[in-house]
Amino acid sequence: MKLQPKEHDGIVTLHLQGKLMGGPDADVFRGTIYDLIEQGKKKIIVDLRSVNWVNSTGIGILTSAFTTLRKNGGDLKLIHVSEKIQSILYVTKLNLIFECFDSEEEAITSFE
Amino acid sequence: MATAPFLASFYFACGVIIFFLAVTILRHSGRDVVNWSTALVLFFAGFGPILGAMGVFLEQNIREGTYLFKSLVGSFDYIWEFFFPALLLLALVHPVRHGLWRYIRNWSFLLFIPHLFHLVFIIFIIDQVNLDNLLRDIAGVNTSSGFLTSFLQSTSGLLDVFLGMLFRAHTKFFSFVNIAYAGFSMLLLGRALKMELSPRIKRQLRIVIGGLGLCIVTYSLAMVVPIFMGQELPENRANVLINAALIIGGGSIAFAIVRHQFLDMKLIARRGIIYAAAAAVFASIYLLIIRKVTGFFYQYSGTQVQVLETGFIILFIIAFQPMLGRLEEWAERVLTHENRSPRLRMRDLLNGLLSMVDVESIRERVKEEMGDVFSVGRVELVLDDDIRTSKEHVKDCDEVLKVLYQIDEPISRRDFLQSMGYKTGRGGLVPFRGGGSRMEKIDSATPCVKWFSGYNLIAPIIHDEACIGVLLIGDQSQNRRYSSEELSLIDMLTTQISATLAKIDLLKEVVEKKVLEEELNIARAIQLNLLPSAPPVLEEYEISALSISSKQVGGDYYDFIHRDDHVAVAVADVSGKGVPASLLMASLQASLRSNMDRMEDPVGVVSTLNNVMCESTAPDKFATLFYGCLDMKHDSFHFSNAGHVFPALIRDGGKIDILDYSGLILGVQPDFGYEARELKFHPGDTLVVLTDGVTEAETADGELFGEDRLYDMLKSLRGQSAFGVKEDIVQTIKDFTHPKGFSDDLTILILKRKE
Repeated sequence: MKLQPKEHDGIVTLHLQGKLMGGPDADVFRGTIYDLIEQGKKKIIVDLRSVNWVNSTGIGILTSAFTTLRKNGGDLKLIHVSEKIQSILYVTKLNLIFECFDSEEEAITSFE
Repeated sequence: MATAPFLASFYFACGVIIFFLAVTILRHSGRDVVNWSTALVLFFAGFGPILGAMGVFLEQNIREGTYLFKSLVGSFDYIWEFFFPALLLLALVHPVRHGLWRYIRNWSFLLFIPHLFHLVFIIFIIDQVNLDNLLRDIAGVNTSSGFLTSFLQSTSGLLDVFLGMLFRAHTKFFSFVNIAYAGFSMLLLGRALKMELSPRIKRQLRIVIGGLGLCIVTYSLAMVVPIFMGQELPENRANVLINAALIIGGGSIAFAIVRHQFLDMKLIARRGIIYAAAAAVFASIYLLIIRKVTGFFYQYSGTQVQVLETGFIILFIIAFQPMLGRLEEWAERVLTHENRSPRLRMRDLLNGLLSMVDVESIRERVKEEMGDVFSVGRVELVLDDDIRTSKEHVKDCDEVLKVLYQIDEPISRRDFLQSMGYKTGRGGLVPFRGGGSRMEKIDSATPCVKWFSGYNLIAPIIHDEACIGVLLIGDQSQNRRYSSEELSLIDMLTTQISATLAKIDLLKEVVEKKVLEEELNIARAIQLNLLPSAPPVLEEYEISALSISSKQVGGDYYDFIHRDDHVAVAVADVSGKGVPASLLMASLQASLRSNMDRMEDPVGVVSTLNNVMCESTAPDKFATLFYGCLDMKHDSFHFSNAGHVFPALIRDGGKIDILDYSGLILGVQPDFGYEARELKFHPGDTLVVLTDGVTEAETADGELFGEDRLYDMLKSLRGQSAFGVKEDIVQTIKDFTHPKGFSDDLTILILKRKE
């Protein structure tokens, strides 16, 4: 999985691709999040535009990234969340936790 | 000529020793090109003096005997000249294969062509001379044809003169070819000497080069100098010089080999005695028995029975090898004082190492046996790990191991220090390092050099193009010399140690894999124990449940608890797999069961579990949970949901109700406000609680089973028993994912009110 991190005013956007269902991709994602925290970058936007499916493991990965960031004084926001994923977030009620936006700009301004 | 017998015996003795060494090398390991070219050199070097001795002998005793025989020996005399091309061949392959060798390896016989031609030419001339004499004799006897006689005489006279001239010119100038061969060989060996790292081979090369130099000088004195001086040496004097040259040349190589190579003088001597004894036994059998037997047959049948003799010789050839082996073993047992020779004990040690599986026992066994076999007090087996763990030594050890890898054979302390750049003094003492004005005492040597140089012999253990350790033998103060045989035994031992260590590494890997598998089995056992063994048998309700793991250990969990009129059901999906997941599952189950005093309060149960998960688990551990409690008296079902896939209720009429309430998954946010919902069970109503393994079941093409298919399937299951519904779902998923099979865990819990 290529995450293509982009940085804008200390806010990092990660572009996820494919299915978020655990396995080695999950490790890459988790590793990237921990690396960013270590570098002091705690405001992270995850772009789910190219993610077509998330299973329980994927939800776990996102949630874990979220809680880790929160504990370190940061935040994680989602953009371009597909309906399918939104339904999962709805079932798990993670929609109450994750802030979702339609565009990167909105997400960036929400950090301010 | 009072010196002649002495000279003949000297030639003969030297020749036989060198010749014999050649045969032994060939027998020992003749396949390697270095070995057979060495054998070839020694063979021809030995051949010369033997023929020389025979020449002197013939001159002495058969002066008036057959001219023909002498000239025949004379013509074979030139065979020794093959010494020179053989030498060049050796120089091309030893101590390293020369670049040229690649091109000529299949054409190496070409090196011998000039000499072959030379030999043929000489034999041709000599034969001509013989023929000439013969003709003259015939002409002398038979006087009936005067014309023929005079023709023959005049022709042979002319031929004689012509060939004689050619012969002289050829023999004289061919010596230049020989010197060119020898010179080129020396050049190659000299170059090799410069590049060689191993002090042992360096010394060996120095001896060979020195010997060859002397050989060329002596040979030149015999053959070349007289040409320039314009006068010929007397034949016997030239012969003495040539034989001396051969003995020096061959002898230096033989000495270098015996002194610094793979063969041991003791071994050669022992073998020699055994071979001689065996030959004597066979000869006496032949003389005493076979001759008598054939004689006996002759007496009665009147014909010689050659078959018997031939048969005996064939039998002899067949029996020779194994018999020699037996004889050798027998001689070893009888002749050596110890019960068992070092060689046999070493063989046992090597065999013993084969079955060892841990480094410590190898260390102990090697120490014990080596100390015994070679009677040395101190033996140490130092391995890579030992070096890494000993702080003081680690720094320079890599460098030392690299040098030892280059050397790749057991070396003495002195050679070791020399290779590490220390100057060696007399008697093996090594006081200083470096050159010029800067002198450094050995005390200030790097720790690793100091450590290793505390021993007499340093044997590197090589594996996979690296030196992975060393075997250190004998205290430095002992200053013991090791014979070539002992060195080759030690070399064999280090090779075996290396192989055994590699085997141990492989074994470790296998064991680790086994341990991991075992761990997974334990996790699986924990998990299976957590799942209730059988559903409760109820009057009006049926419960059926199943959990299938795609891998050995999954993350799914279900439970049901029956108390009086109440049955609680729970289905959870824990994040992660393996042992951590099953431990999380165990704590979830414990929390759930400890909260069953308020089983009718789903919000209380789920909230408590959420708080437990938030407090006591790692940040990346979560679980989804569906929990509900059935009141069988009132047929009402209270439930709450923490992020679990919405369950479905199949109404008796075929309508499907989705239980679409859910709160946050467990373990994310403490004190999350979960809610409870209630539903009524009518006869025939079936509650289906699944994990996402069902909706996410995938075909090989990546198509998901999905919710639509699920609901369609559920509709068709109306009217079946709880067990039947469960079985049908599993079968449908199996069919759907065939031939790929499940990729996720699959858990199903069915609760049905009987119709």
